[in-house]
Amino acid sequence: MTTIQVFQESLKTSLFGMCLVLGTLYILSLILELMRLVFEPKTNVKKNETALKEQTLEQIQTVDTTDDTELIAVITAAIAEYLQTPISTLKIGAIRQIHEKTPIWGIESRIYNINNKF
Amino acid sequence: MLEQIIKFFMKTGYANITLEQAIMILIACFLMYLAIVKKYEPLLLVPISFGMLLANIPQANLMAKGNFLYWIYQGVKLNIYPPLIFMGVGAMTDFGPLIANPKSLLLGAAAQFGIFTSFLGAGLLGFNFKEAASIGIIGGADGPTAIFLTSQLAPHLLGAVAVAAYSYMALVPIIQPPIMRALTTKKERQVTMEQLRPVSKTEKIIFPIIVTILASFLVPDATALVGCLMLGNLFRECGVVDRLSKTTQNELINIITIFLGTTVGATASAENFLQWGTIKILLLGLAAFSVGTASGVLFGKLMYVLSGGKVNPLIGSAGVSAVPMAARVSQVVAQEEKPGNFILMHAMGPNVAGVIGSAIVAGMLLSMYGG
Repeated sequence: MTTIQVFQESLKTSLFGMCLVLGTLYILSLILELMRLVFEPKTNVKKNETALKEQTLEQIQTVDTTDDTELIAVITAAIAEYLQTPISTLKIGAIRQIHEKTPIWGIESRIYNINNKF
Repeated sequence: MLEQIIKFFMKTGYANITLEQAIMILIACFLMYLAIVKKYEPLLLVPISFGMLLANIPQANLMAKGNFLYWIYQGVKLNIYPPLIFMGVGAMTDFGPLIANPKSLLLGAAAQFGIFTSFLGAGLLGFNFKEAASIGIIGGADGPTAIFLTSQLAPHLLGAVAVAAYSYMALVPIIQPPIMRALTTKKERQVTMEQLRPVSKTEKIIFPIIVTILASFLVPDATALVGCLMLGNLFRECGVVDRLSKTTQNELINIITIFLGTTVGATASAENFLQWGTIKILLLGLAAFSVGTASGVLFGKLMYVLSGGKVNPLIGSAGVSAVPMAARVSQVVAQEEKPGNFILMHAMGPNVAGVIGSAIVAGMLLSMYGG
């Protein structure tokens, strides 16, 4: 094959490939938009917004009424001790309870490590 | 006695090492240094570089038919490992940002332009179409996809393509930012995007099924990759097979990564790797990556204009896959311009779209040049 033929063939493949991938993903984006209309009706959106506002208000109230300073201080101190690092190098963004999914042997090993540290 | 010692010595690697093998061992050690000290994609570069070391031990012939690595390599040759890796990737990926902003799929598509630029360049540099397709796919910034395609079209280039793909993925934070800054204005980089809508569980469950049907019907050769990616994601989202989801995103992907990395590295024997072609592959791979980044950003600029300034063009560069590194780079560059600007979740949309896009391109190239 001559260089021009190689160039032409490569160009054809490139154009076809780009059209194919753009076309496929565009169709997929239209399907997703359709899914949004089906599963996210406007009433739901409004409900969600209201629920979100209520949740935010609740959170704000919780923060206002409960003083977690001591709890945060204790957790920070424990982490600093565990990591063997000064407290000044730690920055606590948020502390939240997570749903426990660790298997029992994972928890056991975690407790073992903590016990060894303290 | 002396004769026996000499005979034994003549059979050792020390007596039989060639200059090429010594160079390959040094390259393997350098890659291990990058992986361990510099932390460049260590999960893959450690097994790849060690596989490279093993393949170049004189007289060991671990990749020869019947030997240890030969059998493990059959999983690469028969295209078993890359789809299994994709299953793990699917189980670890949250497609929520993509479903919330479907237009980001187009950014993932635009960033695939790099693949075709390198395909064209490789053709002009004298590689045949099968080799050119394997080199071009480096621009997809997706290791398993690159290995999937190369093992089918040009197995002799597998070592070089894999090393290039994973090295450039690790170098995303160095390669992308200058291109992103050069192609965007300060005003564009400072755009704060609207918060994404919450995505329902039903949408997340339906998404993998729709993508599998749509993409696999169109490009059947991509079914193994797209299908496994989406199966893994369905495990994650359906909520009734937590054990399978956990296994896929932990034990399965880890075991397959060891097999895949070691054997792909072992294909980089001195006679395959130490050629001028390898340097060309590395350069073309870099070009593919850079053009992919540029085309993603330029498409992002187009969306910025069409949306009336609501889209930050920096999220376009994340369309080259390299999940989640490319999305993080978008976030870092955006925050440099405007601290407090969070576009990470918006960048995750094109980022995961890039994975789907590069799998479709791989399937297309396989159907055109495979067999």
